[in-house]
Amino acid sequence: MIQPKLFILVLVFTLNYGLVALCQSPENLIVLPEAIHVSANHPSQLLVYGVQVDGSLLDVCIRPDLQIEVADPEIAQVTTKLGIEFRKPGTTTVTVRLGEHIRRIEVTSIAEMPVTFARDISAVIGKSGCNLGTCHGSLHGKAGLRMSLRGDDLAFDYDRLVHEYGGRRIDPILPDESLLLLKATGTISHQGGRRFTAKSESYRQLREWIEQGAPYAESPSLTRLQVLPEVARIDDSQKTAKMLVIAHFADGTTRDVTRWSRLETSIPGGASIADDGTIQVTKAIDLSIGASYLSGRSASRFTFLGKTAKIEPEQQHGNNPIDPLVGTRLSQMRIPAAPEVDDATFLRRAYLVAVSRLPSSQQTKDFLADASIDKRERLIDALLADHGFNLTWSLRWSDLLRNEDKVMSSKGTALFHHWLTEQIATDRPWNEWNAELVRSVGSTYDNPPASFHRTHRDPMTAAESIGQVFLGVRIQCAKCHNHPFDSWRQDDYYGLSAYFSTISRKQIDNNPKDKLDVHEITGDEIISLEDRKAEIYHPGLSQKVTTKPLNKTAQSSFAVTQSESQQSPLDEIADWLTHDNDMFDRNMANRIWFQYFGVGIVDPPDDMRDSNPPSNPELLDFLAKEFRRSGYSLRHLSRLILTSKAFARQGSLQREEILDDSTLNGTPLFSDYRIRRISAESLIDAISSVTDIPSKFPSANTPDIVVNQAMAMPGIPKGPGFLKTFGKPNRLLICECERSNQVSLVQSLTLANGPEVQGKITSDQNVIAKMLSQNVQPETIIEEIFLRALARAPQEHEWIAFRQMIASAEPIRQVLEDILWAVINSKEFVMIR
Amino acid sequence: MTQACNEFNRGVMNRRGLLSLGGVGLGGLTLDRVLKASEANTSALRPRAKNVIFLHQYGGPSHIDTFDMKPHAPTGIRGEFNPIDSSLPGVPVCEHLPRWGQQLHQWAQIRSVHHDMKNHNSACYYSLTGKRPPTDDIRLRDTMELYPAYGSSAAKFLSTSEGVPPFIAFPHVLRDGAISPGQHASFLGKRYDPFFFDSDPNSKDFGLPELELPSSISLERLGHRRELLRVIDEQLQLAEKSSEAKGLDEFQQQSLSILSSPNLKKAFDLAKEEDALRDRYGRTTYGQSCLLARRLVEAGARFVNVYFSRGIGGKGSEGWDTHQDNFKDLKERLLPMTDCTVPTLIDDLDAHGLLDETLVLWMGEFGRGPQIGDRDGKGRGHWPHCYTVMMAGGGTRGGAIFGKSDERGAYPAASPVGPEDVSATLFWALGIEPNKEIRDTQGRPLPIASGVPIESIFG
Repeated sequence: MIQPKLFILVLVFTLNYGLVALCQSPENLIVLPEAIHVSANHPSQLLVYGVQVDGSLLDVCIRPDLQIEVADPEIAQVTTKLGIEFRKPGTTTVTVRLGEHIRRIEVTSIAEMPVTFARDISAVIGKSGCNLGTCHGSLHGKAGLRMSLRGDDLAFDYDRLVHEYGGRRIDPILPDESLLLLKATGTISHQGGRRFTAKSESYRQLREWIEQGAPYAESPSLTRLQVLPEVARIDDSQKTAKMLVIAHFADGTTRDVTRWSRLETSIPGGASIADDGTIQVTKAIDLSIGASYLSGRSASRFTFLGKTAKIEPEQQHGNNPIDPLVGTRLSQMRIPAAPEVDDATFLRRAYLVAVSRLPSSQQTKDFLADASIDKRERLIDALLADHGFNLTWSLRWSDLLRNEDKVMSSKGTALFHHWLTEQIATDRPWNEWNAELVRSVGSTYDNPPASFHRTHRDPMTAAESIGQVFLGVRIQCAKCHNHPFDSWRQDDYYGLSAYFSTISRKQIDNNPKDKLDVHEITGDEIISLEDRKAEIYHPGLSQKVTTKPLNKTAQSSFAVTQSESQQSPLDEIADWLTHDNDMFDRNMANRIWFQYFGVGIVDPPDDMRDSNPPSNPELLDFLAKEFRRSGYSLRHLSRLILTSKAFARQGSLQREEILDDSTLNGTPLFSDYRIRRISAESLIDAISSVTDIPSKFPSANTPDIVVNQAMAMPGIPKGPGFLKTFGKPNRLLICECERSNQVSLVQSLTLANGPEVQGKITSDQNVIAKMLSQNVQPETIIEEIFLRALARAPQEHEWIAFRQMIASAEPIRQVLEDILWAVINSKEFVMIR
Repeated sequence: MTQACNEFNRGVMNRRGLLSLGGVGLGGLTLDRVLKASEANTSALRPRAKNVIFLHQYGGPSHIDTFDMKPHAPTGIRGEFNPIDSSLPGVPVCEHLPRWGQQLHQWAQIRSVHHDMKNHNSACYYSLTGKRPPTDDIRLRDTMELYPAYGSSAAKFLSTSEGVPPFIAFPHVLRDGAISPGQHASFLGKRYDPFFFDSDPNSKDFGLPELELPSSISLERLGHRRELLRVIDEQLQLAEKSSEAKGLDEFQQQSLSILSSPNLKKAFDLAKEEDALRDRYGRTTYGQSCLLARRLVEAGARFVNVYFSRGIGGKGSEGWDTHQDNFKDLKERLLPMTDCTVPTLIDDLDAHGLLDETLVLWMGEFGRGPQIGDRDGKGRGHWPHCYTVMMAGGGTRGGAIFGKSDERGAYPAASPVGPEDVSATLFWALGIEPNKEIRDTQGRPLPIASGVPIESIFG
């Protein structure tokens, strides 16, 4: 029996970074992974991080005082780069010491495993990028070789590489002469260039496999892909950090597959990532790094902190539970919060986001004069009880549910809009009316929620809407192939679509002007369910499949038989969607937050996936739970958000000031309030209310139905005009992005010189004309315009300019029109701030 | 795999683009970063052309009766028209295009363009974007999932002139029952939409109300307004604090300088041109639109779409959809107007020294079927399987003929290309890499053009 010798490797490195890190003694030490269980021919890397007081990490792998010992060096040894190399099967312990901190991990290796196609070779192919959509993974392949996109279909790929064209791609007798290797190394002409060299590990593995006769050889399937660390905040003294990707297999073994994974960062160009998992950045940044290996997807979140001094969490949190959640995140990220806004700005902001209009001059005066301490809370309560709140939300949901006149008819549009408004007005539990939308059938005129199945006219569109609108996940990619950056598979896409496969639609009195236009339905439509099995053709499996809800963790499990219950497929999916569904809760909470901040905690709000994580996960979790706990009350959650400190912070000021190190590249942490353009409907309504000249909005197909408030319009306008120019969506997409709040040249021209705005400024019925006819003093008129438009009185430097104008020879009406013009064109007016 | 993903698969996007893809969609970019992206055409490509004038011929002009005649084909195919000699030895042209024929040595022809969209709206979208539509839907709906107009992509990647919108389109909204997609910026965002108007440059009182200050607003008064605006904006200085406010401020400065400077407005004042030149362009909406296109390019516009007609034909929309009485309609209406206007545009561009830097593109959404006998027995049907695209100026090689059709003009006989390749050629000529990446509403990276540039028709 050989006594295990103590093997100590003291790592000596050239000091290539500042002394700062060396001087800091970490509070704690983390060694990852926590255990290793591999086959002997697979080396593993170790990560050693020091944890500081505030939870941020320091990579201490290269500290000279770091000591690593392996109990039995005949089983494993440590290389200079903190790799563990196995010498023979067995179990031993690795001890890591830094100062007083000691960590031990158990490492086990089992016998070497042969190279297999399903595991090793497809990983080489994936890593080399051969099966991407732009290369051999394309529908038609490239240059005669087609492989499944990102290795979706291993049997197919094996057949192509090994058997197609009489097996010309491999040569087991002279492995180095295999076409596969000659092409990949660029030895012979290859449009895709050189993927690896003959000296690489990729080459070695491929060659070995070919030499063995290119067996398919079963290997244990991948059960989980793990990234380490999952979340890391890296101290500002370091611009590099390292991550590992660990594959877990069905036989209980693990592998460090970092170098065989594809690593992609969420911010293009934000970081460079080396094959061994080393991440290098040039500035403070908040990144998600997606890893994919074989069929596994996972993501790790790295925040490289800025230089800003450490910030203590805010002292007083008040009693709004949102405040400490936002505050803690900000202090973790070392970002200072902007100060609170003044009353006038708060008032205007709250009106615009909650009821989509401006406060009247009297409301502004009253609010500013009110000295009570709870006046903001009372304001929010009043706004939540205002009809404008209902209109705000029914407009947003009319957008998302595609309530447009062509498919819905003007009557149907109005009925559906009215129904939506009612659900908001009564604060009906959100999940309840959402479920009703999904499950409703019958006449869309008599039962407006059935309109969901009128605007989503085929099973796939309905499924995509369930994903994107109700759950915030985009499954469209999975229509044609497994989602490249998310875990959705074709099975999920068609399983979800199958729920909607028995819907039938019958038009009543349909009389489209254009007989060729199948998108136009002028009368009622009756939605019904056919009495047959809900199933749909799955092109990947080339067979029909039954229903299956979206489920990230479960493997493919289509319902084998019709379910026992008497529920219709629509009832089933509506129940699944809206009860005990975390995805639903999180998505809705995020969308509600998005309405009030113009940016989601996950942003874009309808793109939730591991590689686009929430900027403040605890905040989103809290809001989602609170939404459910409150019985899905929109008003409850809205009140909580609108009375939080985050909502009352000053506009983007801070962000711009500290642009260079602490923006974390635009990740919204709600340290300040995002300044943005008022949406199309609110803007024209605001101009109307400032000038006292309302606009008219005829409904698209029935022009005699007119509303004079853009916010109250059920459908969308026909043809171009102010609303389209300012980004009112056509409601043809389920994407939040269809509504545009961008700015454009045509918008500026429309405000500066467009006939609609000009007409309001010069009308002899407008605010100026009326007040002048009542002999009101010009100063008073100016003050009224300012209060209406900007919720403030003019300031001294403005008065100087205005008085000069009034004193000039110009007619007073002209002077007032010019001031009104300038107010309407000012950034202060056009922006929510 | 369905059609929706064809582009993705056909794409020639570079690998780096795909690698960087894990992350945020366009919606995640701040305006600042978008602005930076728009400046970032760091392509090493040498631009051949600075500007493009796209003369779009809706309805589908017959290739067999214009530039790719088949005099030796049977009667039922070759048609009524005779070929005549052109300025290009051995290359005849239709007898009803005599002026264009005398200029043919200045044009490059692509005679083997083909695709598979048989309906106007879907084919029109294909011709305006180079992107294959998801379905051949007769009323293809104009959604933000569809590709942007060429001019929008160009506006995103090209430098622009102060006070002149980079992409201008007029004088019709193309529609066939429904608005034809492909006429705006779609998922690139509103800032890249064309500056569009539908007033008639041939009408006596032609002008743009948006560009014309009302008579009550003198330049001096606009100056006052600008000053007042500056005073109010000074209060919060939002443009310093928010990139969106900054963007708004920039567009505002641009629109106010458009309103107060004569530059763009002058371009619209066609009365400044001599009557003789205006006559030579033709006193038609199309003729005067082409004249305006030259003036706009001169003023600094980078991409101008002139739509020949608002619809495909019939009901006064005056397009090229000659299902009935093909020869009469061509001979009496379409070809004379074309022969009057297009050669004049080329001569005029040349006279102003603009031809070398301005690529003129003349094409419809498809050609017309070789077999005569549609509808009234005298028409030709839709034919996307083979047709001709014409290009002049902008570095093209005059007289170049690329590809060829078979003896009936039915299918390409050599070097078949698609609208994707025409698209790649346009961007390539402008010095923009065809695989330049843009992102759709789903955040998917896509190349602006997925074809291969036809470099051989350039000098």
